Amino acid sequence: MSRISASPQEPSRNTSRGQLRVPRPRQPNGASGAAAARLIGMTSLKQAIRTVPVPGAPPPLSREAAAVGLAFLDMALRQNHIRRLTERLSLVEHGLASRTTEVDVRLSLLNHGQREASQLFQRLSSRSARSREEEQNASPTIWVPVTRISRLSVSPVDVVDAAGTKLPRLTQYETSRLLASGLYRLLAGTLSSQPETRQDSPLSQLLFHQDQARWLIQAALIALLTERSRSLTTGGDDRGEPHDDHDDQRCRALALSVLRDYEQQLVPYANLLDVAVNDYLLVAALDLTRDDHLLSYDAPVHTRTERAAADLDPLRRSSPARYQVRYVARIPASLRSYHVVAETEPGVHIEAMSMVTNADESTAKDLTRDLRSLAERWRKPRPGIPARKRLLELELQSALGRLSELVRTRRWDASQAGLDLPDSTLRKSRQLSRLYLADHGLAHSERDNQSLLDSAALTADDLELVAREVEEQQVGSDFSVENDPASSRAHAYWRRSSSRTPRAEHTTVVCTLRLRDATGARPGSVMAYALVVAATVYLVGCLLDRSLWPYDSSAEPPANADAVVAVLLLVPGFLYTRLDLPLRHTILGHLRWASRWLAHLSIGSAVLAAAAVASGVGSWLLTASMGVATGLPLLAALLLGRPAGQQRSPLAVRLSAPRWLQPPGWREVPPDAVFYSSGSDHE
Amino acid sequence: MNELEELASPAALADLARAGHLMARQSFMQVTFEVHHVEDRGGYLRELLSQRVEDGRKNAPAEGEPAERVADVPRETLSSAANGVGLVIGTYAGALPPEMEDRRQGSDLPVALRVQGGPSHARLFQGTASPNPSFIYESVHAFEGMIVIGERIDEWSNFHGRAVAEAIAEISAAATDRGAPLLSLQSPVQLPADRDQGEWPVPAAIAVRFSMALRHSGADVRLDLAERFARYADERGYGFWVADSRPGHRQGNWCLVQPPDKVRADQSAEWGHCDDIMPTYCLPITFVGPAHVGSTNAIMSYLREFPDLGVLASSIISLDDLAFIHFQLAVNRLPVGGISQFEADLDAVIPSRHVDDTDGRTSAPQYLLPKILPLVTGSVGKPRDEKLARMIDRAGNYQSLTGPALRVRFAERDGRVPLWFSWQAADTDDGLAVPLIALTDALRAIGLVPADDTGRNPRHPNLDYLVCREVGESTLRGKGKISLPRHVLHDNAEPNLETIRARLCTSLEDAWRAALRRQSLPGGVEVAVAWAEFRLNNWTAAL
Repeated sequence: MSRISASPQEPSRNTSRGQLRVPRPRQPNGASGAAAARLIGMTSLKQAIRTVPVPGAPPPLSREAAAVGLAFLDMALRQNHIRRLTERLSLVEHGLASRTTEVDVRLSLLNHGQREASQLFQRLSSRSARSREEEQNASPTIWVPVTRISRLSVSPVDVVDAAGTKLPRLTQYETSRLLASGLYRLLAGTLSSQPETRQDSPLSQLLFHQDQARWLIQAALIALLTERSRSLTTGGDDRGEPHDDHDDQRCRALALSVLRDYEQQLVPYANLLDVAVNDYLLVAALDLTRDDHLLSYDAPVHTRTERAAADLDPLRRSSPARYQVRYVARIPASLRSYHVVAETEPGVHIEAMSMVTNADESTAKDLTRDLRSLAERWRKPRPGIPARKRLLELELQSALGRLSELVRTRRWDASQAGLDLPDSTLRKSRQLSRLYLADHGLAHSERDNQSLLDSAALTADDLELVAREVEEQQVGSDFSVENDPASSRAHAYWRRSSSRTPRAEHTTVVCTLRLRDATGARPGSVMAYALVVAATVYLVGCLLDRSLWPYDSSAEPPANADAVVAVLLLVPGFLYTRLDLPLRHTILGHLRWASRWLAHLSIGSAVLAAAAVASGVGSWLLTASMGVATGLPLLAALLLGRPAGQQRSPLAVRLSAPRWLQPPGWREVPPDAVFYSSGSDHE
Repeated sequence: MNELEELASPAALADLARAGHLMARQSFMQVTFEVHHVEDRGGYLRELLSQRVEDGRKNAPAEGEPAERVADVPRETLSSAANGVGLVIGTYAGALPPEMEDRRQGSDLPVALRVQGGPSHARLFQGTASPNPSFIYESVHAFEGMIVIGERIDEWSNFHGRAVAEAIAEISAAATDRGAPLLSLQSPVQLPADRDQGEWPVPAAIAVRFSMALRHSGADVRLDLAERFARYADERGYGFWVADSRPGHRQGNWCLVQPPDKVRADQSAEWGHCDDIMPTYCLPITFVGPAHVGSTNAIMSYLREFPDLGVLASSIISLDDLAFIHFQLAVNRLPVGGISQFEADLDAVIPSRHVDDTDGRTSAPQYLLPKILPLVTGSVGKPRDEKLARMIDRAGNYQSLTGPALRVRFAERDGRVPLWFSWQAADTDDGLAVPLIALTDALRAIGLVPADDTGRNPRHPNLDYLVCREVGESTLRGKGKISLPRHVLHDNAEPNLETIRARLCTSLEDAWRAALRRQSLPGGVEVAVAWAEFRLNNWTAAL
């Protein structure tokens, strides 16, 4: 079987310098970091082998179930039948969002083997006495894996079709048994291909003679995949192997020793086992009479609010009238097309929406590694190597060609967003790209004097500089923005280039949304309220002082303080109840935090004045209190009354842009809330 | 990036799951294969496929029959022809054919090999082998190179056979040292087409083209490998090319690293103390087994223990996770009784006597090679035990398919011109047969097939090379090269070579499309014909 792949891309699980920075989500349900960590399949299997009872009879695993299970895994990983994944994110209120995932499935994109396996399952699971033909006529459905769901996600999932009808889906127990059968067959098949099977070796003992040891592996796989609870500790594998003479212990020792001895050969199997132990397959029954299906299901969103940081330092916000949301999703890297549609509550518009993915990260990583090794070879030529220069030239041109492609793509990304690459970014990379594009025919040319290696404009240090630049300026991250007019709905999309076959399991996508108050008007009612409060306090002051400027003489406490206090409290208090202030936990409430603060300040000022009058203090203290109570609302109202920018800021589109798009002095605004995907695309 | 991450891409894992699925859906977890060692003639593969398609129609299951069915047409296929000897390898996705059912030898052994054809001009081997489903790799990290030993295929001597054997040993050793699977190896092959000159390249030269999948691909690894081969070539006066890795350059684009040095090559030949004689017979031998890193190297290391052994041609490939390692071993010296005596001697020492019984059908290389190599080389040889042990360790579960001895016919250097073709079709049973039959129909339609169509007419187009594989996403891709008699150039009134070959390619491609329009393959077929490999459309990149 041939394997293909093309241009590499690999979102890293690390967050080292120069890579797309993705804050780690808080684990759901307060799970500890260790408990919520991704399981290592082979370690878990070994632990299960140590602990499950040694069976006295073969566990019920069937060949047909194995074929179906592996075909389901193939479909879930390859996703050749998934045309598009759309995530609809509804921003309900501050720190709260809901998500509906839509999957476009086309059944005709399944290949013959995959369809055959799906139909085989239909037959296997049927207990009726009908013939295959009758069965198909009666129930023209096909079981298809729609997506993978993290086993950490406990939310029930209803899958509905475009008409809103709930679709039947396999229970996770059924799916897990299929996977267990398939993974055992695959393990046995991989081990059977080893040359030692023909010799008297532990492997041949396990495969052909020691039935119980084989059954033990089967039982361990079934336990690992079908039981809801699993041990999440990983320390057990470090223990020594059992050495007792007891038969059971010999079985365990044999199974473990074979897994250990063939660890290298089982590396790909271990990676597949990782997928199976960490993800459930969501398998739904689709109507076979239609080719295209639009399925949807609700999935939870994990949340982390950043409000505290932003509120502690309000100046760090881009504008008091803006609210920033970040949504981090990990999508299967094999996906062809991915859309995010965001919706907000009424009265809030999405001013800008950007999307950053790390789809080119592995290309950038390979490039930096190559540039550094080429620089080293260039500086320290090895003697006695024929055609060394020609080979180095070829690799150099190859590396600079890839650099040129990356720079071009980033430049086009910026252009699509209506921006230019800042002069300060990718300076050296752009210079070397120009150098590459200005030259060079190599393959069949003998003209070594025209080579890049002989170019005065290129040195080994330049390669090092470019490698650092690519790394530090996050060239492996792309960038796109939504260009539609601001409204309560926005969408961004990403699609995999047809020339690329992904190398990593996931692509990380970071969407950033910038929201603004869409009511359009300035906070007139709150300002009027502040003015009324100021005027009330001023009026009371004037009457007490019997002067139009009651702040330059020592006022005397009024004789009828109760009445004055009543006026100072009742009037602002009554008007406060008439204000249309958004609730504090809504997004609008966060967007209008200044209005809320002004209203609170105003009523606080009135309370201050009332308290001063009620306490009977005289002289300058009463005057000062009245002055502050008048001045503060006025001042705050003036500040709030500044015209707010309703037009989209040209900088707004640089939301969480990678460093290659950030101008000098760019200060990234911390988001007010961060959401993480869960379910199909999140671990 | 460590190895675990390298092998964790969704495509690689899906490939692994798919390989497991193909294996698990059969009643026993092995892949059925078929290998033909034949005297080369034009149209052999077409006849074979037509026959299989016809058989398939006759044996088509009735509606409602169980899903496990027998595939009649090979799925992943390699066909090559060199020195007048043809090789066809095919693997089948379906269940065991009924005629093989009674040859089962237990779940841990392959079925007993079925051999058809006697010691004449053709031998057909049918059997099964355990695939290695974890044999996955990223072809984007493939390192491809070509070692050119001699540019004239008609200059064959014993030296060249030994040089090819030595080069294959060096290549396989380099791959094993890097832990890299050898994806393919072919000899003889066409030299890279010269872009600057207007000549039509000759279809074959004494050269070894190879491709290995690197797990840790990077400039460092590629340079280390290329420098190793450049040094090897430089010491012997050979030429060395590497595939052009620059963006926009695909398979078929080559970069000359080490130009050949004729003087030094002649000196190497003299130091080798080789008789300057052309071999007249060869013994085709194919080893089949689960694809592993190091199996070719283990077998080659053992073969090199017989220094007089020459390899006239080689085809190494992995299909459906099985490795096929094929050599044409030069018969250095025939016994007094001639080729019939040689065949008799061979039958006497080979435990499987290639008659259709079930006894001793599967001969592992460690049992077979020590017996036949003295016959082939005419010398006893002193194979070291560690080489034998290594072969047992890496290829001890391989099967050896041997014979018949076939006469070698070296082509005339300037007698033929190559034409490359490629196609892409949905992964169905017809994905190979339909496009290939349509191609041969197209050749006939545009008048390139002579009237006396026996296939032995030198004016008949010949299929020099063909590979067809499943490349993921339910797609079969095929690529190949046919050689045409050079007279097609002279028959044309147009004096300009550029125009002639452009017209020829266009007319063949059009005729091919027209022939395919009469078929109904799901998803359609995309085809391309070009006079040089690098001019084929990009969907051949992964082959």
